[in-house]
Amino acid sequence: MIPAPFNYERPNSPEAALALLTATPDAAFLAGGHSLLTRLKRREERPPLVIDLSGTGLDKIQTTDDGGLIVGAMVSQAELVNAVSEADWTLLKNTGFSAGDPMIRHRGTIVGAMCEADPRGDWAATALALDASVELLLVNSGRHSITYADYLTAPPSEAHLVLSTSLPAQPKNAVQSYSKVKHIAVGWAVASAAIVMSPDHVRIALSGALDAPQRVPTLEQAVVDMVSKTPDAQAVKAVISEALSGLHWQGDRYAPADYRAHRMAVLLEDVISDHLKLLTFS
Amino acid sequence: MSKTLYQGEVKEPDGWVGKALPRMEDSKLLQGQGQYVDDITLPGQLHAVFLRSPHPHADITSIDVSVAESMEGVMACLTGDDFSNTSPIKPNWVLPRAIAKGRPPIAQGRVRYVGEPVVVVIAKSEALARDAADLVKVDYAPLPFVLDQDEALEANAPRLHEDMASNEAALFAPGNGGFDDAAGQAPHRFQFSLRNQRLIPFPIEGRCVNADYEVSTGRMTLYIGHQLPHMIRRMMSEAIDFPENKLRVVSPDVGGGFGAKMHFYQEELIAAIASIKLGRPVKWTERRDEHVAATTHGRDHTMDVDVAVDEDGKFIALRVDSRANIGAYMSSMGSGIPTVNVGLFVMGVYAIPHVEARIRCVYTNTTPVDAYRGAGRPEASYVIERTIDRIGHELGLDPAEIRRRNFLKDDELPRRQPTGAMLDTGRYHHTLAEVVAQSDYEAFRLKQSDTRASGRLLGQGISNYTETCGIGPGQIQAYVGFDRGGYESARVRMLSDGRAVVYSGSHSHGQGHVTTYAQIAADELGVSPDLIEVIQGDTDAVPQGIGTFNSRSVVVGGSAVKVASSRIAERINVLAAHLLQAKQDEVSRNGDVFSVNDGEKSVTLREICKVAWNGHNVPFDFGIGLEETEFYHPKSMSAPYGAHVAQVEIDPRTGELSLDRYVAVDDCGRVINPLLARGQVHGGLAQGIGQALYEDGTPLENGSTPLEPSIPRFDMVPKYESSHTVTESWTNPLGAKGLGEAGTIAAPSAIVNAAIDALWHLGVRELEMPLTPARILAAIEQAQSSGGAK
Amino acid sequence: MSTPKHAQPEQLSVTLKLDGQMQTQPVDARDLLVTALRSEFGATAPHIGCESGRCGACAVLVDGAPVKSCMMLAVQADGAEVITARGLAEETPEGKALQSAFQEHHALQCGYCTPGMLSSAIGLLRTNLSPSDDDVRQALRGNLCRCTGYEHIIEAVISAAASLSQEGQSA
Repeated sequence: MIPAPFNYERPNSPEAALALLTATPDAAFLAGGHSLLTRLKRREERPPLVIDLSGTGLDKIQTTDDGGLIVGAMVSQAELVNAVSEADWTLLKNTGFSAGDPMIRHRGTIVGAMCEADPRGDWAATALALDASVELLLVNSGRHSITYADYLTAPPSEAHLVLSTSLPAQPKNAVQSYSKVKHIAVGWAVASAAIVMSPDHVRIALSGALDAPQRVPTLEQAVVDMVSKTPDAQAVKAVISEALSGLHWQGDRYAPADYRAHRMAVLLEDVISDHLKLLTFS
Repeated sequence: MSKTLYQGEVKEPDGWVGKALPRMEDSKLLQGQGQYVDDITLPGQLHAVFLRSPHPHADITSIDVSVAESMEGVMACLTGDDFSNTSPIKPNWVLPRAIAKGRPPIAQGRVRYVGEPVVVVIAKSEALARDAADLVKVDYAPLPFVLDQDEALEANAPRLHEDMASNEAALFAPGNGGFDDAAGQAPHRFQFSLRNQRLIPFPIEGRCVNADYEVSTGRMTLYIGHQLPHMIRRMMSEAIDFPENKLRVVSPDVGGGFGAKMHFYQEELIAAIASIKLGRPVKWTERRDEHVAATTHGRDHTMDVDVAVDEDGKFIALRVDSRANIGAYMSSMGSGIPTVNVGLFVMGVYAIPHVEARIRCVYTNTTPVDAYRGAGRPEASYVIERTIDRIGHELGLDPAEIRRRNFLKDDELPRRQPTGAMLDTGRYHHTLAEVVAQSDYEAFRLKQSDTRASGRLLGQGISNYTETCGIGPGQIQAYVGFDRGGYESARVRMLSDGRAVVYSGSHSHGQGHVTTYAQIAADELGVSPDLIEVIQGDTDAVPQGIGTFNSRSVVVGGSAVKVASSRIAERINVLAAHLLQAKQDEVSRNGDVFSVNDGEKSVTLREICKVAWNGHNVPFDFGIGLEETEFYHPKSMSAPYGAHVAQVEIDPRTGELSLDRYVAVDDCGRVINPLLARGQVHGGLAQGIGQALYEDGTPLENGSTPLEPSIPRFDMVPKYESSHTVTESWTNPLGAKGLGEAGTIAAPSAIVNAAIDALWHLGVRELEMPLTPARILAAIEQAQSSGGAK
Repeated sequence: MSTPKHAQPEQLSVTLKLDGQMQTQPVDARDLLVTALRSEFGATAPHIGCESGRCGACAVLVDGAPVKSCMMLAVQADGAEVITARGLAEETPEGKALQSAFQEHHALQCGYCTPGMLSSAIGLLRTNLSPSDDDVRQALRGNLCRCTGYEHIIEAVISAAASLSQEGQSA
C-alpha cells in the first residue's frame, strides 16, 4: 500500500495549479485525498506529479446576497456542515451526518466528492437535489460556470480545475431530507435519496445503487402532481415503481442489485409519503 | 480432586483472585508505547515484499526478475527455484490417516490459491521493494479451479494435488453408531442443511516478522507477533534445521490474534532463510490486502443434519454429515479444527442415545482455513443448537422447553459423551433458568404474539453452548495427531526485595495475562499484584512453554502460576520458621510480617527473601533462593458452557434485522477477574454477532477474497448484558474453565435461532449466515410464494 | 511493464510540532503521514491497520482534529501540530481523563487500535461533553476494534466526559 513515486507541488493559486496540470500530462489534483490516495496506494494510478490544492485559496465558504452558498474546492465536509444553519440547509446537515465518519468528513471535501461522484457516495446526490452548479477554471477558456448535472453528464474535454460549487438558496417552504440505507460495514449507501420538496419545486436525487448518482425527473413530476392532493400510499408506490423501473442498479454480495432496487423503492415510499403529509398539513 | 466445588454466582472474593482489577499492562499501551513487531527496526534493516498469485489455480510459465534485481537498493529477488530444496511447511495437527499437503515456502511451478507467494523481493526499504516487485514479470497458464468443498468432492472436479485420488484430505467419524436402526423407528425425523461461512480473522495488527541472523555468533532472533513463541521456535528450527538453542523468538506486544497468529506461515520461513542468506535483518509487514488473502481463514463448513426424536421431543438419534473446506494446503491445525473440534461437540449439552458424525476435510483453490476464535466449537454449537430449535418449532414446543427435556442432568456429570467430549461439571437447567429470567424471555413471548397481528416480526433465540478448552492432556493430543505439548510453564521467582517475577510460557495477545497471573500469584505469595511482574513472549527468558489458544491461558497457564507460586510460599514459610527458630505451625503471618509468640520475635518477608538469596543463613538442604518452575500438565480439559438469548425484530418490508437485546450467562467456573472476563465475553460476542449478521469471507467468483469482510463497527453491535453462573471445574487447581471463545461459540446460533423464531410462522425454515437483509427478505418472499407455513 | 517515469522518489523536508517538540525530517513526496511519523519521526504510537482509511488505528490529532494519518501525505502536514497517543496526556486537556477511563473500564485489550481510538474520542469530547451511548457509537464508527466488542470503550468515553465536565464546573 505504498504509492508509486511521484513529485509534489503545492501551488499558491488556481491558475498556477492548472498550469502545472497542463505542463505535466497525467498529473493529479489532491484535495481531501480520500479517493485519490486510495487509488495511488493501490497503484491503480501512477501520476508523475501530485498537485496539492491546499495553498490555492479555495478554502472559503461565501454566502450570496440571496442566501445561496459558494463552497470552495478545499472546504471540508465538516467545515461546510458546521457553517450552515439547520433551518436553511437541512439537506447538507443530514448528508454530513451520514457520510463516512467524523475523520473522513474532516478531511474529505464536498467538491472532491462531487467530482468523484461515486455511485455509492452521498454528496453528489445532495448537490444534484440542491441544483448545484460548479465554477470551473478551464485551461483555454478561463472561468466558466455550468450546472453540476451538466458537469456530470458532459464534463468539459479541456483540462480544468473545479474552483467551487454554488448552492442556490432553496425555496423557503421546502422540506429537505437526506435518507440513507447504509452499507453498514463500509459506510457507503445501499440506497439513498436527497430530496428538496415544496409544492411547486421537487428535486429527488438518488445514490447508492445506480451507475451514478442522478435525479429522477419522472418521479419529481409525479410528486409535483400529488402535492396538495390527499396523500395516497398506493399512488405513491405506483409512481415510484414506475419511475424506478427504467434505472440500472449495481449490486454486491451484501446488497445485490435487485435488493437495492427494492430497498430504494421502500425508502422513497416512506420519505415521500412523509414529505407529502408535511406539505399538505403545513 | 478432593476439594469442594463452589457452585453459585460471582461473589466478593477473599483474596486477589476474583477482584475486578484494572489491567497493569495498560499504561504503556494507552500512551502508544507498546512495542509491536513493526515498531522494531534494526540496524541494517532490510524489507521483504511478496508478489502473490492473482490466480486461484495456474501453472507458472515464466518468471523474469532481471529488471527488478538490477534496481539500486534491491538485495534479492527469490522465486520457487531458490526454495526447491526447502520442504513444504509441515502441519502441526495431522489427523490420523489424513493426507497432509503443506504449503511450499514459495509456489513451486504451480499456484493453488489467490495470494500464494510467487516471488519475494528484498530491498533496503519497503517502498523500494514494492517498486521492484512491480517490475517482476510472471506469466501464468490458468487451470480449472474449484472454490467450494462440495463441488471439490465431485468426481470430475479439478484436482488440487495430482498425486491424490480425490480432494478429500481427511475423514473423522466419531459417535457410537446405531443411527439407522434407531431413527428408522422414530415418530419424528427431520433433515436439513446448515452452513458456517468462511470468515477472516482480521486482527487490527496484521502479521509481522523480523528475522535477524547474526553471522558472527550463528544465532538468530525472530521477532514475530505470535500466540505460541516456543512452538514457532520449534517449528522454525525443524523447518530449516536451525539449532534450536541458537534460535530466540521474541513476541512483544501482539495486536490481536484470534487463532490466525499461531501458525507457521511461508513469510516467516522466507524471512529467516533470507536473513541467513544476506546476513542482515529481514522484516515483512503484512498489508491488509495480504491479510485477507494470505493469512488463514476460519470456518467454511457445510453440514447435513438428520435427527430423530420421540413424541416428547426427546432425542433418539442424530447424524451429522459435513464437509470442511480447508483450502489449497493443510495449514497447521487445518485437519484438526473442523474434525475433532467439531465432531466431539455436536451433541452439545444433551443426552442423545445414538450419534454418528462424518466429517470430511476437502482441498480447494482457496486460502488455507484454520483455527479462528472458537475453532470448531462454533460450528458444533451451531449444528446442535440450531437442530434443537428446529425440533422445538416442528413439534410446537418452546425452544426453552425442548432444551429442558433433553439436557444432561447435573448429576450425570462428569460424563464422556459418545462422541468423546468430556463434560466435567455443569448445571444446564440452572443456567438456562438464569438467562430466561434475565432476558424477560416469557414476557418477550407474549409481546411477540401480541404484535404479530400488526405484522411485526419479533423473535428470540437461545444458545446453550458448550465446548471443552484448556488443552492437553498431551496423551489425548498424541491420539488425535496434534503434535504440540499440552502443558504450560510458569517460573516464579521472588527477589531479595520481596517482589516477584512470573515467567509464563503462555502469551497474551490482549487477554491480560500480566494482570490475571499477578492476581493468581499474589494470593499464593501473600503480596499485592503490583509487586509482581509478568514476563512472556521471549524464549530466552521464559522456560519452555506452549502458548495461548483454546481458551487455555487461565486454566493451564494460570494453574502453572498457582502451583509454582504455592511452592515458593511453602519455602517462605519454611525459611521464616528457620529464622524465627520455631516450628512452622508456630509461625503466624500478618501481611509482610512473620512472627511467633504474639509478635515477640518477628521477621519481614523482605528479610526472608534477602536471606534466601544471599544464602548465608539457610539450612543447607533448603538450597538457594525462591524460585520454582512448574510445567503444569492437565489430566483433563474443562467444559465451560452457558446460555445466551438474542432478541430481534425483523422489518418485513426490507428484511433488516435489529438485534435489540443480547443476554449472555456464561459459566466458566471460577472467575479470576470479572472485569477482564467481561471483556472476553464482549469481544467474543462481537465476533459471533459478526458471523451471524455481517461477515463473509467467501471468495469471489474469480477466487479472490473480498477486501472488506464487514468487521463489526461501533454502531453494528448492541449493548451486551453479561453475567456468570459459577460451577467450578475439578480439572485444575483454580476451579476455572476457559472463557475467551464463548461469545463466538454461542452468538451465531442464538441470533439465527431468533431470526427463524421471528419468521417460522411465515414458513421460513432455514437462513444462511450472514443474515443480510437481502437474504432475509428473499427467504420471506420465497416462503410466502410457496404457500407459507403448513 | 514499463519502468516508472520517476524512479527516484522526490525528497522533501517536513517540520512538525510533534507531541510538543519541533522536529524536521526528510520525507518522500509519496510518504503517507503515518509512514513518515513511524519511520522518520520515530513516533510509533499511530499504528498501521488497513492503510485505506477504514480502521482508524493510525488516527492522530493534526492541528487539534483527529485525522486518519494514512489518508494524508506527510508533506501535507508540514508546519502542523501533530499529537499522538504519546503526547495526549501532556498536550491535550482531555488526554489524561480518557487514558484513566480506558484503563478503569478495561476499554483496551491488545492495545493496537487504542492510540487511534483515543484521538477520535478527543474529537468527540471537544464538541460534546455529555455524549450518549449512540453519540459515541457514531463519533467513533471510523475506528475498528476487534477485541473489546466496543462496549467498554463506550463506557470509558462517557465516563471521561463526565469527569471532564465535572472538572470544568468546579474550575
